[in-house]
Amino acid sequence: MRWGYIWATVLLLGLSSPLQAAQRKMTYEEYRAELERALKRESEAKAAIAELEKEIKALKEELRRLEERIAAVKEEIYSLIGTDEQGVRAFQAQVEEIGKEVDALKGLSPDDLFWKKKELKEIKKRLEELRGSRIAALPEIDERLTALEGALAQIWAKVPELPSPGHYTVLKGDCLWNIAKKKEVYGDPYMWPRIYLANDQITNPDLIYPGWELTIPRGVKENQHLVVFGEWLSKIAGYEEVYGDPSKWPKIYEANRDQILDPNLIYPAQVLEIPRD
Amino acid sequence: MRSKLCIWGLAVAVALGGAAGCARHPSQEELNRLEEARKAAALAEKELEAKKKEKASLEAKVSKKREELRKLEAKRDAVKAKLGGK
Repeated sequence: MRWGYIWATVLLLGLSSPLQAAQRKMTYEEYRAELERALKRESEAKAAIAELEKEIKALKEELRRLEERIAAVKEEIYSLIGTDEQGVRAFQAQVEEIGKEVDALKGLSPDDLFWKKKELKEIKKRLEELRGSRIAALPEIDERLTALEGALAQIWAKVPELPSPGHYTVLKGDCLWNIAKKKEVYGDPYMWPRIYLANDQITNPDLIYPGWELTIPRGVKENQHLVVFGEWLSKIAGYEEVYGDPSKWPKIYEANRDQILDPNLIYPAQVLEIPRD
Repeated sequence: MRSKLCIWGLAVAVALGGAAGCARHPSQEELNRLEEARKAAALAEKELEAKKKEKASLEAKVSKKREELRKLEAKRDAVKAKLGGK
């Protein structure tokens, strides 16, 4: 019985501890293989790092060269257009300012555009000035200017030769002088002959009747001038949009001999032809 | 007879235990070395990954700069052509 216990104890000790050790400890061969694997991983990674460092150095050098080249080409462009980055920005701001004005005009009706002709001419002039600059040779600016010129041409095409005439229904007590004086008509009584000349039913300007529907002509054509009270030929010739030179008044006189008998006598509401060179 | 059986049993048990538990194992020092080697490998691999990322980033920058240069050269040529007549 005693030997039975001893036998069982030894058997347990002999078998259990090696089994446990096998579970938690690697063999020497496994250790060697694992060590080799780790060393190989490290050496391979270091070799790859060395290779990558060479490539990174080359890339940094290329980047530096590219940046130098970019700066040189930028400098070359600025030298060609005779300005610097700030100059280009200021120019772009001017172009965009015109862009906003053109956009605002796009939505107007033809009649409204007729009254904006001066503004349109001004914009056209500014665009031409910008176009004349060397900065306009930059592709992005050239493109924008071309677009604006196109948009302006489209707006010009919508401008009528004359705006639609207005209408007025004669009331009891009205006369042409009073009608012309009304703010919604001309706001200028001296303009009464325009109404008289535009309405065939008026045979005697002192005789108009309630209920008559009168046409109220608006504006004048491009090469015409509507005389208002207080104007004379040299004054008209001196206007910037006419000749900008009072001494050129005879040109107007010659072109309107049919309606000007005496060059010292012109009348409000006369529509004068302005001959262009 | 019974005691003989016990002695044989004891011998078999010792033999079995020896066979199973006496294979050679790495020492603690060797295990430490393995751990160090593993750590060094992991560190090198981490550094390799960082270098790969750095290279990829530089390649992207170079590619972007090349494109920028190409566009600028085209712009310069366009300006020259446009100013040819001025």
